[in-house]
Amino acid sequence: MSPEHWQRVEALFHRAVDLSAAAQKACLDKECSGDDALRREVEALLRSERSASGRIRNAVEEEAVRLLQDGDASGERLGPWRLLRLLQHGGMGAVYLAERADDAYRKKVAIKVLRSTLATGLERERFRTERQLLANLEHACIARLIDGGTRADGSPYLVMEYVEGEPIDRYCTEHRLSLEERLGLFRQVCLAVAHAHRQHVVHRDLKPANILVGKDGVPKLLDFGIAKLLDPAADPHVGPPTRAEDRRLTPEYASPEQLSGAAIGYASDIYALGVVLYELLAGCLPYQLTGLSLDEMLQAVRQTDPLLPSVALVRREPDDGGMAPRLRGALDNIVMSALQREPHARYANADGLAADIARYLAGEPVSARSAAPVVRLIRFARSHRMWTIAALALLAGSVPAALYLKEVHDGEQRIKALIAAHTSARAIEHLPAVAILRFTSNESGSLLGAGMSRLLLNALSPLTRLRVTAYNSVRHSPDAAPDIDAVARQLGVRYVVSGKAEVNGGRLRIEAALTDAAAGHRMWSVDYDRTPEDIFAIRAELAEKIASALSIELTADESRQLAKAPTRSVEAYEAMLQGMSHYGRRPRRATEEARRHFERAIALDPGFAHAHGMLAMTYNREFINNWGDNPAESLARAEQLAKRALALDDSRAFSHLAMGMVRREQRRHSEALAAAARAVVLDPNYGNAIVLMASILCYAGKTDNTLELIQKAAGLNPRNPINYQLQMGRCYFAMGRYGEAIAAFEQALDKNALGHRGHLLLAASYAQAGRLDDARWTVSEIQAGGRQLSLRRIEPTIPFTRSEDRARLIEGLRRAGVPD
Amino acid sequence: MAAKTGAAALTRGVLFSMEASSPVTDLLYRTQRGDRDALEQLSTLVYQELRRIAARCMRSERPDHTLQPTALVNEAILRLVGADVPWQDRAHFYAVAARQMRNILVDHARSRGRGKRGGDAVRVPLEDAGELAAPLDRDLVALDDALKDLAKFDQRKHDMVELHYFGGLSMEETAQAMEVSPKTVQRELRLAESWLHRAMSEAAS
Repeated sequence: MSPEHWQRVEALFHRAVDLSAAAQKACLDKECSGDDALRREVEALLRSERSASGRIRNAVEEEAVRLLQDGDASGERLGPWRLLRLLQHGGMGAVYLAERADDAYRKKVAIKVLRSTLATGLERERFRTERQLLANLEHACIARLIDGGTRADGSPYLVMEYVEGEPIDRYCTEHRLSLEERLGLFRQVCLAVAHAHRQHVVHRDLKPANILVGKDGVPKLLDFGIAKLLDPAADPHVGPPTRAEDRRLTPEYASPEQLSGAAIGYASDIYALGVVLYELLAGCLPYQLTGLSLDEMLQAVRQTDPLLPSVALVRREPDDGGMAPRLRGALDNIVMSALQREPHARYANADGLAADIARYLAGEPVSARSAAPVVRLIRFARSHRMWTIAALALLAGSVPAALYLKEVHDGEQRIKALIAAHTSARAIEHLPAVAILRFTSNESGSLLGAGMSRLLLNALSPLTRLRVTAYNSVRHSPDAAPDIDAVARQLGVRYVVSGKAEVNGGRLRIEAALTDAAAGHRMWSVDYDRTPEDIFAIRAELAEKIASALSIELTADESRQLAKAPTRSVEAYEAMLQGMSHYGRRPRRATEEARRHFERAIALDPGFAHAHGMLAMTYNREFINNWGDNPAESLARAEQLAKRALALDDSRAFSHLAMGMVRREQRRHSEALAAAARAVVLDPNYGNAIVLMASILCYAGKTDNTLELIQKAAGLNPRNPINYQLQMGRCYFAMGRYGEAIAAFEQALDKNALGHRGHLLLAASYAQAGRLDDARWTVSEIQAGGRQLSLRRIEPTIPFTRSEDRARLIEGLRRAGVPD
Repeated sequence: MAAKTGAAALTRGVLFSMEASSPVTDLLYRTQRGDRDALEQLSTLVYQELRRIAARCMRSERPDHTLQPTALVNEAILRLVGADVPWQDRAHFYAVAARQMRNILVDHARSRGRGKRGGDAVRVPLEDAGELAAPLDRDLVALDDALKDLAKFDQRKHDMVELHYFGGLSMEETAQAMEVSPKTVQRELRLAESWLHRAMSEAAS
């Protein structure tokens, strides 16, 4: 606005303002001739004139009113501090610039006066403890908490180091930092966050506004742990904080679990760091959430993937000065690793993130890799027919034209996908891995102790979003506390559930803890003091807690399953546990002993599906090992019991497994495969079901991928690795790789785990490999056990379906000296 | 009219209560002679005093809710009115006080708006939907911005607006303070107000 122009406007305004409308128009016509801009301007001013003074007055008045209503405390004294002026005013409270009234502390501070009031002594106590935790945070890049207290009206206040600086994103833009400089700055931030995490403080609200960079170029993090301080209702002993409280957050930086109100942990901070890094590199946010409702935000964050930073940058600034290519690859992967939806798939701690950044800057390879697409285990329809047909199709190698149906095709695809999922190393890598240790116990509680870990395993194993491993070491004495770190490393898991189950004077006392071995701290621990009958309820509660702590969302079905107890009677369960410990020892007598316990369990609870299944297994084993006089009858019994187990409860994997094993022996392979596949779908962590699938495929002559399947299963269930040697051997035999088959069988033999069938296969393998002496020796060993071997008797029990496989076995045995 | 606006009343209260103390008058004289340091110190003192009064007014609020906060302020101020002081000295004081009053109100208005991606998370909790600012809530900030723009090409009008609306001086008092005729003040204020109104509307759109 030039002075001359303004003078003209002014003159014109005064000339026209008190004229009538018509006169005004005429005046403007005359004075503005040709100058439309001037005319518009003056007209606008004339229009505004009437309500102008009122508007200004209102603006001032209303703000004064608001000021008084907000009770702005500037000028007040707060203990030894004097509030100077209001810096910020928001949902949580107000922040004032302040100084010491007595000059004892020269520097200016920021005092945060919080809106909430701490009414009870307990709340004040918690506030004090939390405050102490924060006050202990001493780091060059973290704004110090200097002091704190409560005012007379109960509202708490915090005195913090006053930090002047620009938000990190603005700092980088204003000072035109290079890529390396940005990364260097960000790395310092990560190290600060790591420091705080080690002191067990989570920030919960990391964002550029809370990361200020001063003139000296040093970043400082503000408001560490303040969000938690305001949530004094969070009780560390009860596990994750209550959901409703933690809704105060900045959506763009909030992790999916924060948005959905689930448990917040160190991983949430990692996510926020990921968003900040994304911004610093790409110049925009990964998700645009402005104007969305909470549900829409959740949907966006859960179901859409953000663009890679390199891509986002190019979209925004096609001419970015060459930064985009440098982001591609390692940096993209680092950012996306921090932004993973699943908390466990992110960096385990901020140090890891800082380390990768350092590696990038040093030109070394980073640990982050591009995320594999998640292979979801697909939930199948319940149609039994569909399963069978699909399995048949898969085994036949093609879909018979007459049978072609969409569901068959889909089913076949799904079984293939299932196998692919289990053989692909990357598929389940991103899932949280937890190991359930055997619970220690006292004399009277020892059975339940073992039972507890088994119960938890059975409860958690069906969850698709979790990778569960059982660890049962006979070497580990019941009294010694397990070395969690060692276990975690050995099993390759991140989380460990450990505990104690003791029975004393009719009371059942259970202690359980969940430890995060990668981050190095215990997540929670609980104890129960109940009666033995409550064990199933405790199991359900513990399982829910574990799932919740690992941010696993349960579907409605999964929740229901979790709550279902295997049996109503603790006695029946104990009987079954006893049966299982006998069954675990393989010899005939032990199996018969086991059978007695299972029968007792069924007598105590006729609806006990699992016991029926186990009983079926004893008859199955009888058939396989040729113990009974009438093998056909053994198998028939097994089938009958397996059917009963399914009838009682077909929602559990075990019932299907039992049936699968029976069908396999009956050589009804398509049905066997269908049952095994069903078991795997119901319980993705069930190693034995995977092995069953592998064995069926093996016997059917479909040996692709079976080796990997078995290895995968072995990884899931290290408790019974010896079993897998046998499976591997069988697989190698079917593939004609006799040398490897022999090695595997010999290993099983060393551990005394080679059953009757295994011996036969070993003998045939030796023979086929040309080691006739070994072959003959093995046959004589079998016969020494009191068996009369003849090919005629063996022939009907051979599980292989392909004629060439059968021929190889028969031929091998013949060469080994088995008579016809 | 002078005592009507809460803000204006506050300013008057401050000036009257402060005039008695000599360090303040000393600062004032130094300010009049162009001492920038003194101006800063004086500004801070006025700022703090205004706040103190505001806080005291807040706490002295009676349970009788039919009273408007501005009325409460007036009442409090009346109690503070001190002895007469030469007008020339007061005029300059008013200017400083008016500016500080403006700063206080604008600080407050701006700090409320800082919820956006900046400071405290005001966006969510969604239950507190009232936190989201409606356009009129931002008017004072718009006024402040517009005033700054106005000062770029017409300092005198800017000063008039400040004295009148933030300092609470009447037209006559404003005229005296600026050593012009009341009629001039009336004329210039009229245009200034219109211009500011339009600028505020443009900012809101």
